[in-house]
Order: sequence, then C-alpha cells, then structure tokens
Amino acid sequence: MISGRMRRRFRTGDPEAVRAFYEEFGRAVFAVALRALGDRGLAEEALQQTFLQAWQASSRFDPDRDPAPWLYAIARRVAIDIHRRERRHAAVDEQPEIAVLPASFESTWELWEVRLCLDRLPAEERAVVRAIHYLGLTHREAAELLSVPIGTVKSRSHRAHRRLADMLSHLEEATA
Amino acid sequence: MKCDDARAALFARDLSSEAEAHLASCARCRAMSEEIRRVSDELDDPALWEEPGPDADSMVLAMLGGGASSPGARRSGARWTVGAAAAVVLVASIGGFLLGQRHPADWTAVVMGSESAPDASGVVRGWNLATGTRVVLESRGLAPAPPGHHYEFWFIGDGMAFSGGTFLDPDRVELLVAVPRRDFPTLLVTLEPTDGDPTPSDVWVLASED
Repeated sequence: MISGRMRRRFRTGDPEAVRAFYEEFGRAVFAVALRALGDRGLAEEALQQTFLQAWQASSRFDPDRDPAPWLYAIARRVAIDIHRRERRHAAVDEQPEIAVLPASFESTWELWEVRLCLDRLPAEERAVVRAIHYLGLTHREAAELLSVPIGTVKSRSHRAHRRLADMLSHLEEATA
Repeated sequence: MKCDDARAALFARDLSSEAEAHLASCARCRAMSEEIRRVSDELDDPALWEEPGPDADSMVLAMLGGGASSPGARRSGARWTVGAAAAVVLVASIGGFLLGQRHPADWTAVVMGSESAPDASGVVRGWNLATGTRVVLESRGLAPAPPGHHYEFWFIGDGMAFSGGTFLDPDRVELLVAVPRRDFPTLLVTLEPTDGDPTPSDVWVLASED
C-alpha cells in the first residue's frame, strides 16, 4: 500500500515516489488496458501514457485521497483515446464517430480491483490462485506444478480465496 | 461453517457439501452468491494475469525517472551546424505510416517545455531503422503553430542539428529522421518562422533532458 508520506512525495514529482506508484499500480493499469484494447503492444503504450500523464498531473493529485481511483480514471481515459485513434485509422471508409465503447471497456473497474487485491496476496497464495484460475489446473496438477503437497495447495487456495472474498466484498455487496 | 468460509469456497468454485448446506440455509450468503461468482469469473480473464513485456517496465521507469528533474533550466540561443541529411526530410505528417504500429518502440524519451512553453510536455517514441529513425511525438500544452510559423523536430548532437520535419499541430506527429538516434542524444522541438533559415530558431518549445 502507498503510504501517506509517499503520496505527498508523489505530488512533488519525486522519482522514487513515482516508481513506488508504478510498482503498486502498474500491473493493474496494464490489465485494464489489455482487456480494453485486446492488444499487448497497445496496452504497453497505454501503460506508458498513463504514468506519463499521472506524473505530469502529479501537482494536482490530492495526497489525502486514495490514488487508485485517480490512476484508474487516467488509465481508462488513455485506453479510450488509443482505442478511438486506432479505430479512426483502421476505418477503410468514412463512418460517423460512434460514442459507444465496446464491451471490453465494461467492468474494467472490477478487473482493476481484483488485480490490486491479487498483488496484495502472499506470493505463494497468488501462485496457487494463478494455477487454478488462469492455468485451469486441478489441485493435484497445481501441487505438481508448484512442487508442494496437495494439502498445501488446498489450504493456500482456501486462505487466498478467503482473503480475496474479504478484500472484494465491497464489489459483491455493492451489486448484490 | 461460517459465512466467510462458505463465501471463500464459492469464490474458489470449490463447494463442499458443508458449504452448499450453509448457502442453502443462509439468506445473506445466498443473496451474494451470484455476485461472488461473477467477481470470481474475473480471475479467469487472461488480461488479469498477463505481464507487460520485459522492456516495458524499464522503459516506463526510465521515462519517469529521467523526466522528473527540472525542465526549466533549458537555455536557448545555441548555434548549430545543420546536418546535410536535414535536406532529406522524408515524412512529416499527421496520421502517417506508424499508426497501427504494433511493435514496441526501441526507445522512449520525455521532452519538457522550455521557458517559452513552460506548460508543455511530451513523449517521443522511436524505432531504429536501417535508413534512419522513425519517431512519434505526442505532446500536451502546445497550441497549433501561429500564422507564419511552424514547429520543427530536431535531433541534436555534438553541435549538429538534423531536422525530422515540420508540422503545425503538435498533438501527435510522426516523422522520419534520416540519421540514427545513437549519435544524437538531445531531442528538440522549435517554433520556426517561415523564413527559409535551415537552422533551428532560438525559440525552443520542447527538449529532452541531456
């Protein structure tokens, strides 16, 4: 988590604080951009643009507020700009601008929140969650992959999912 | 079974009979179950687990670290020898050949506003070619060039200045500089009067940190 002291340093454009912000939020920015744009090269461009714009706007950042929504808003805006630029130049014939964004832009806030929560899990628990959800492995296969007993996989999985359910409960309660 | 444990099992999609019995008897957990499943589905999205390429991290950190020093000390008035390749300005266009480019840039540099444009800033991405360097400049805080003027992009190094081309709208421009970047550490954008002088004017608007 970014400390209040680091937030105040970020506001002055301190390089160390900017790096701390990148380490905390960089993966979440990339995840949002990748889902929205569906292209790794464009997502990396969005990652660069987001942090460049955040740094340029750092003097307007309120250090008393959580930086996550502020950075998410910048990341989403950057992704929208890149999407529109790409669409303009991919069009083979003149078509009117359509204000509606594709479905890939929906639920990016949830994705952002989930990614931040994953980054806050202990590494060994995150590895189990990755094996189960991303790689689609069973507990036994995950145990082989991670070279740990299956009981360890089950206990880590339970702890990790309990932590995630707790950290993300505001998303569930907000929409339930 | 406690609510937290049942929700964790639901989140993990690993429901035991005990967890199912809890959900059947707990109205609050049951009410949240659909949303828990939906958030749990997010964990399957590959976008969540993909990592930026190995160059992306270092590029962003270099860009931010390099750009964080004060841009205000830029001097103007320097005199340059204009490289012969300046006559070989190949492209200066908005919306030209690089749009849609999917390959990550070979290098990225921050350019900051000078005294004449203190609120301006930008980023330059470059692709090294056998025939020179393709660059994309994206800037903020610069108005379109006033009548009778244009912007010009330069590679500067060892007293030499190579033009990458001229443009009126500086928001996003794609250019081709006919020399490799490696010998020209400084990037410069000037505001030029339309007077035919081939050397950079004294009005620097954006410059990279040395």
